[in-house]
Amino acid sequence: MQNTVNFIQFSINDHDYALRTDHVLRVIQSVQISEAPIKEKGILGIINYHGTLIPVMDICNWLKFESTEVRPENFIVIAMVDGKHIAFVVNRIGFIEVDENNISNEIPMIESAEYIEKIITNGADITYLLDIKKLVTQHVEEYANKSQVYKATFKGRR
Amino acid sequence: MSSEFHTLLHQRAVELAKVEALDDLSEEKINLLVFSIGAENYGIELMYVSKTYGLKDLTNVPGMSSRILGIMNARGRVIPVFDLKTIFELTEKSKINFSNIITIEINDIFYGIATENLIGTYTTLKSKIQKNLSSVNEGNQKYIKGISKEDVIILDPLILSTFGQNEK
Repeated sequence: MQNTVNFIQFSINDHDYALRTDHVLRVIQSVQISEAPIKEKGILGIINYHGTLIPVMDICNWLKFESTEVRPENFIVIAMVDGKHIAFVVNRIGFIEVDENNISNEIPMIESAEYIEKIITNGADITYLLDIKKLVTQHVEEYANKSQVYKATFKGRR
Repeated sequence: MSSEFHTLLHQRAVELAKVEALDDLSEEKINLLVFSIGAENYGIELMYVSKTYGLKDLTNVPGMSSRILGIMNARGRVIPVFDLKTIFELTEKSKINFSNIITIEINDIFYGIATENLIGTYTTLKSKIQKNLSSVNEGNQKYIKGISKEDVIILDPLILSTFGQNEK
């Protein structure tokens, strides 16, 4: 019997990316992003998700794309890793069930390879599996340490 | 960006900031992809959603059933895209501007449905889904699994797959 893994798929700058469904808390329509107390390159601002303040990362910046304005037709993916929230803005969203044999560890030499954990192939379609843990560990935790507001709210809530 | 866009994003941020009561973690939940057509919100279980596309991916084919908006190539397969407003008789009530297509995969059947707005993913308690659909037109009840406590009409993807074949 085939082993399959489920992913939430989304597009950023016309490229397909994915996260495992167990990392995604919710996908919402884009909302106004408030200015963060500490301005930092790569952080767009914060959103209030039912009382929990969540930093919204400028995922385009991390993936070496040009940052774009948040528009009403965009979506915000709210992910949770090790009890910490992280959010980022994407375009189209979808759901894919992938045979484990179609998931490869061979990351091509692309500029944003640092944050790509694996590659999912489906015929000619290629989807990059984001290394969300690395994004959180390298950037969000560092940012949280700089801001007492985030430290107070990073306890996580489900 | 226009002030209209800013207002819309602000309104959504205000709604998102509202504190919800914590759900009972032991209760069974279902994950939905929620979209709107006209004034109503519809949901389809996320496990059946393959991908979403823009309307530009749709190709119109002359002479097709009025229930089919067109066809599209999704992951190498040519699939029909259904026009749900013909099920729910929405044409007279409001002008519908489709903007997205959700592709569905169930029991090796592939099809798409055109939507006006994609709203996002949503988790709801299975026990709170209302199965009594007496307020829904009898002919349309078969396409609906229930209505969530947030008034999202939950569609049955398997019955919907027969939608294009049922026209007399």
